[in-house]
Amino acid sequence: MSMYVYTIPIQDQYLIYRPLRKLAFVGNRALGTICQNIAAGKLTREQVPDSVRAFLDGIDFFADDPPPPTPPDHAFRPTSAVLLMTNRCNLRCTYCYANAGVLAPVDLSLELAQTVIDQVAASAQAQGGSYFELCFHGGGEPTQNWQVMQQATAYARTKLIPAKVVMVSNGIWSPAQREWVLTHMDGVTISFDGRPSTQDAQRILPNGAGSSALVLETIHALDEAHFDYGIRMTATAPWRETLPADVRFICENTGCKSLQVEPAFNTVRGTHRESSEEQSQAFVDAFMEAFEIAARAGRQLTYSGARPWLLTMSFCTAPYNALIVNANRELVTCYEIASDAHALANISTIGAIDAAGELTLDSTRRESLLNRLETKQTDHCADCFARYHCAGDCYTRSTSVIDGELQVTSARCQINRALTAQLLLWYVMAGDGVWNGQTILTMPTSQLSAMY
Amino acid sequence: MSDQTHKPNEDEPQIFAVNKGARGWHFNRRNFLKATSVAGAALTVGGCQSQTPTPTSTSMPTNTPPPTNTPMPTGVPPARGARAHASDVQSVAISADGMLLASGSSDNTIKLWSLPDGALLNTLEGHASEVNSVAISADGTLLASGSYDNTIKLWSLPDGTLRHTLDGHASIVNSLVISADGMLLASGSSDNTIKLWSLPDGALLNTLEGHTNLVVSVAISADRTLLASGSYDNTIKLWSLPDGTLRHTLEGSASYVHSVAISADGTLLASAGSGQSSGSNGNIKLWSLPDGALLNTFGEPYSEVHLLAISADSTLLASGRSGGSTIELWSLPDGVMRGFMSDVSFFSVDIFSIAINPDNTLLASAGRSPGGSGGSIKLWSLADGTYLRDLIDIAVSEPEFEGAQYSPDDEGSSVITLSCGSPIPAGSTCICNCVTGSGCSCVGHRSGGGSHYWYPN
Repeated sequence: MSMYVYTIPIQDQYLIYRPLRKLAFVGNRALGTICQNIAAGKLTREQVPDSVRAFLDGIDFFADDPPPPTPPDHAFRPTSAVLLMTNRCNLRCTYCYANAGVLAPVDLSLELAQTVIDQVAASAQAQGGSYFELCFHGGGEPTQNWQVMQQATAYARTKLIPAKVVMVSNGIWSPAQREWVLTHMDGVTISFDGRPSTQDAQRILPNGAGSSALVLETIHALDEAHFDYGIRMTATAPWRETLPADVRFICENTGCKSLQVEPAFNTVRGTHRESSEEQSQAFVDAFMEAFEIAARAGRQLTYSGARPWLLTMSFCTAPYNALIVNANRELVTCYEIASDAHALANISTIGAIDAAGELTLDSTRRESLLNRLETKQTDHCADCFARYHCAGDCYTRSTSVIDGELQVTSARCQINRALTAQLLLWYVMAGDGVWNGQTILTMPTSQLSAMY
Repeated sequence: MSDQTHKPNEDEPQIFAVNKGARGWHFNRRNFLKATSVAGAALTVGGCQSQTPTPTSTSMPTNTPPPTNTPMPTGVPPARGARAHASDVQSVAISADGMLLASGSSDNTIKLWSLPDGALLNTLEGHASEVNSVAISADGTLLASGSYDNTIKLWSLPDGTLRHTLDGHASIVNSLVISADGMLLASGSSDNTIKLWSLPDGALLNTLEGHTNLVVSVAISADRTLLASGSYDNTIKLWSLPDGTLRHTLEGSASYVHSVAISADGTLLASAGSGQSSGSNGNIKLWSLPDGALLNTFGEPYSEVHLLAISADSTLLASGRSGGSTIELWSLPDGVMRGFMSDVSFFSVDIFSIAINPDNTLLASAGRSPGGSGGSIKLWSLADGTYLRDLIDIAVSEPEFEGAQYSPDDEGSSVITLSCGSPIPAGSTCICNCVTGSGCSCVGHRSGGGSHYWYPN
């Protein structure tokens, strides 16, 4: 018999969970023990008490697990071109990991963009893909390198294989830029933190003014054009006081259906900081409150580390399927490695493109990084019920350089595990006692009475 | 927190229902057998097995007792693969006594269902194309249906006999309404006209011209002095009855007007349309009658509302988006959102029509079944927004749906597994194994000693 069964203690009872089957319910210790013994082959179906057996039969508990997800292919065959366009920025966000906007300006050149597009378009076409992706990303605000963005987009459209062009932006656009984006792009993620009081405190213009009005203008334009966009929120303490209200504001003032929130524990620009246990729990509580608000409004609120609906062996496709190039002409494995100033630049830089357009891939270094990611899953995550959901988590956020040594940290793990368990309980509730894999993003009707 | 009302032996295995309150999760112990049926509902859509003889859905069962006020089960996910029609359900109407629901479908048929139990009473065939609209007269003796075949058919109720076929429209009949006194039928068509017909004979009285695009929705005031029409020419027109004189053209919609409804007290007209502009306040408009002054605008400014229904007491408006899976409820006349109802069955459906019963206890939504093949009709409680049940015609439900258990029995009928709490289709028999006292909400349950089954009739 092949089955993974986890019994996760929740308020004196146990969330009994089979991740590969996407099956969850709540029982007491005795029921958890029975389930564990079944999984261990120490208890046969016939030995299970009649009433319990009937229940377990009803949910097909005795069936084996399906195979775990397939590990990602290490071959370097990118289908996504990610251009980290510039370190310039028209905001001075308090938590910016890249410390953007204050460093000596470095822009990605058009010829470099064209080289990357050529490589990825050819790679996607060779694999029989129907399109390739071109993404303008961070380290600064991509629209600050405006002409290159426009020309790179136009160039991508000349390829034989269609391009899906997307951007991650702060939404501070001129009317002309807005018009151009609506006309030429296929999707946008806007970084926006919610209520004006939050946005204006965290995402600040260089002159110290708030950015709320400007970004809302952009979002309303996207709504009006029925444009495909998502909102990426960064939440800071005190989470309980701010995050639910910020999510409510977005639900009430925008048409955005897809919201992602990530916590920031930074107090210093240009760094990532770990959270304390208390901070982690506060974020988890705030997220669940905000999740319910979003669900009631028919919106989807997600956090990258808690994805019980997903079974995967890779947290992020960036190290595997993306050709990510920063303005310094470096090939990197994460969207956040905008320069070698990043603490993890050393392990994340896997090549370069020289002035002649020649791409050099350091396969040894890349393989070393991929092995590092997989080793983390087999060692650090081996016994975790969320292992196939967060899949080792974002390595740049769960790894720290301490005394010159790379060390896996556990702060985000606590959040990921706690939130995954909370979402599973939500699903069990919505499934009337048993969750069996449905993705549930709307409010269960049983909870609607509170609205009347 | 765990349920403290029970002091179970910790050595005994227990399973818990999960609920969420203001102070966190609540785990309430429940019976394994009940959990079994619910779990079956969630996973295999099991729980209540209905042993169904060959469905006799084309004629009115003579031995079917009149519907009673059977307590309605709540919160039970609909059965995966359960269908009301073989194709999209385009329109639903509820009779004035609240006992009958009529549904028109893209499968060219009309079905009659008893409420609140949801039993299928009859299937009416005769249209040559999709049935786009249905309306029931206030006295419950007449059903009108409009179709893509450009005709309107009048049927006797409750027997479903075809009485008349009304020709005259040059294109699809999109919307029908019967006046409260049962003397007048109005039809809106893709030929850009509205036609007025006398009832019950079906004689054409008048053709109202003036719209420059499809007429997709019509409504008549309770006192039969006013007709409202909504059109894809972005206007609403108010017409005097019975003469058909155009009184007002209401503009202000940035795009198509999808639906109009007049409150029973005759003071309010609601209209729904496309998302408008960033400066707009919403996509639902309220107009005063008979003058046509704009009173209020609400709803999301960025999306389209295709469906409207106003409760009989004129205090509640339900709206839905065609192609959406959520119905929103609004207070009238202030336009304050009171809540929403969404398909939580995990198999979301597109909604094409909604109707509210006369005593405001029930809302019916109709549309496309999960997966896009077949039509569904769902009943919802208006008191608390809970899902009640799907209306199911076994004859068109999917035998191969996931978790379904069909097996031939000695009489050549089949066994189908429905979600616990589903109405048992007419002529079928529940053989579920819930025990007495387990709280199973299957309609029509009866005890049979220590355990109870449903035996063939």
